[in-house]
Amino acid sequence: MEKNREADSYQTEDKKIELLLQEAYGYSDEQLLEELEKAEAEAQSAKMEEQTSSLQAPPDEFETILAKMKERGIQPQLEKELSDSDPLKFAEPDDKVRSAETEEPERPPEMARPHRTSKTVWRVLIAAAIAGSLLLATGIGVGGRRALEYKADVRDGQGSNIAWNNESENVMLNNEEEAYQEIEEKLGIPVLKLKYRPEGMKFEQAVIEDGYAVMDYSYNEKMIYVTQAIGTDVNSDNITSDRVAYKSVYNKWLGADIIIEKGTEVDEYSAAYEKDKQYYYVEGIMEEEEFVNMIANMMF
Amino acid sequence: MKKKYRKAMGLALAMALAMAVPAAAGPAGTETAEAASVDWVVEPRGQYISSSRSGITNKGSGVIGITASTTAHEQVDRIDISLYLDRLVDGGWSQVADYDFTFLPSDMPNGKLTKATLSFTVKDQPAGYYYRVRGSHGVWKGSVIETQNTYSDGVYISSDPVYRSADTAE
Repeated sequence: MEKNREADSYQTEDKKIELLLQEAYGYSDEQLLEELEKAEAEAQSAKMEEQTSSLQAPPDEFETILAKMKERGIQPQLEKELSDSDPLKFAEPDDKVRSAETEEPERPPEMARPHRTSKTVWRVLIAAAIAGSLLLATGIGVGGRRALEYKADVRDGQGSNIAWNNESENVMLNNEEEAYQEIEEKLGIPVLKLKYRPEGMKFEQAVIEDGYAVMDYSYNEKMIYVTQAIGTDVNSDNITSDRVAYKSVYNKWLGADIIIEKGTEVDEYSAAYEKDKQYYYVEGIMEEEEFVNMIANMMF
Repeated sequence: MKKKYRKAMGLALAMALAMAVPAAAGPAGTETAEAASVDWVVEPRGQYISSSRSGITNKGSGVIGITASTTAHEQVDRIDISLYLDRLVDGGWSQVADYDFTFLPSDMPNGKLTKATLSFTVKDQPAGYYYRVRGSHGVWKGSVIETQNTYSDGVYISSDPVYRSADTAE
């Protein structure tokens, strides 16, 4: 059962590679294999010819040996066979041997049929070469670290003519450091970074929209968000939450007192910080002490 | 079915926003009969929704930039954001456009819906007026709907490409 699955897997792989080869070079799998075998046969033939020519006896060697055998009274078996069997069987032994040597030699048994391993290796090598050349030609990088953001189901209302920003601006990132760089580059603002973070809190992803970015972190199966937004004198933003002002925390890196808000229903916290019209907002559910430490230690 | 479901959800959200008190969405006519069998508990605030945001920007040349987002504390089943664009005319705000957005886990690259973010531009409104955006944000989790509202200040949308200051509008 396991072998059958493995065999099926090999067949599927072979078919894929075969298709790739056909598309790349216009050769079928059989044609490529034939080319390979032909080349191998020619190489083998040339090698054997070289070996036999160096070992070839002088033209009169056979007669010399027979004469010496007669002198010593040795009855050669060859003569007996020649006399009592088909006279044409060994009529011209030298010529026949030479003819066989110059013709394409019969392949060894293992080469007479397509060998799965060599065939697969051959295909894989060609496929790897093609893949490598495609990568070089198209400049495809490693990873795929970013992807265009989702597009929600949108219903246009009255008199609406909207243009989404998810073609170029709306980018999702899965690496925190890259997200910092990308946000700074795209929004053109200093990026506020969380330095202290409780054990187990990890970065999930970041999305950059037109004018703002949201970085997602997970902690104890809850989400923590850091929003970083451009502020200008020609825009207006409004953030609503259930949290109310709770206490003030001093951040020595920013040289500012930051108000921490606390949820009325659950132990959720948030904190906003503004500088030069840029707006930074941290929110999530975690222990109060941990959240306070996080806010007190964030910096640009 | 999906359309009816969405209509029922929209109605439930509208009721929640209008009343801003816990309520149960009941049957709303034959068109919503299929969805009416679910007892939705609508909460104006609660344990799933974290914050909501909406914003408006004068992009210049009569282009209006609109942004909005809703964050949840954990994975949720659905997030809706309805945005209403108002124009200031003769000292009063008048709605001139509205936009509905629905986010589902299947819309997310990783299949997990924890927040919704969006941004777009509007180009078919006359320049030379103040505009504002209002947002209705809803989060669905199991049989619970939690909602929040957002309002931006008014921003002057200029016809020329140079940004102009819009300090006061209301």
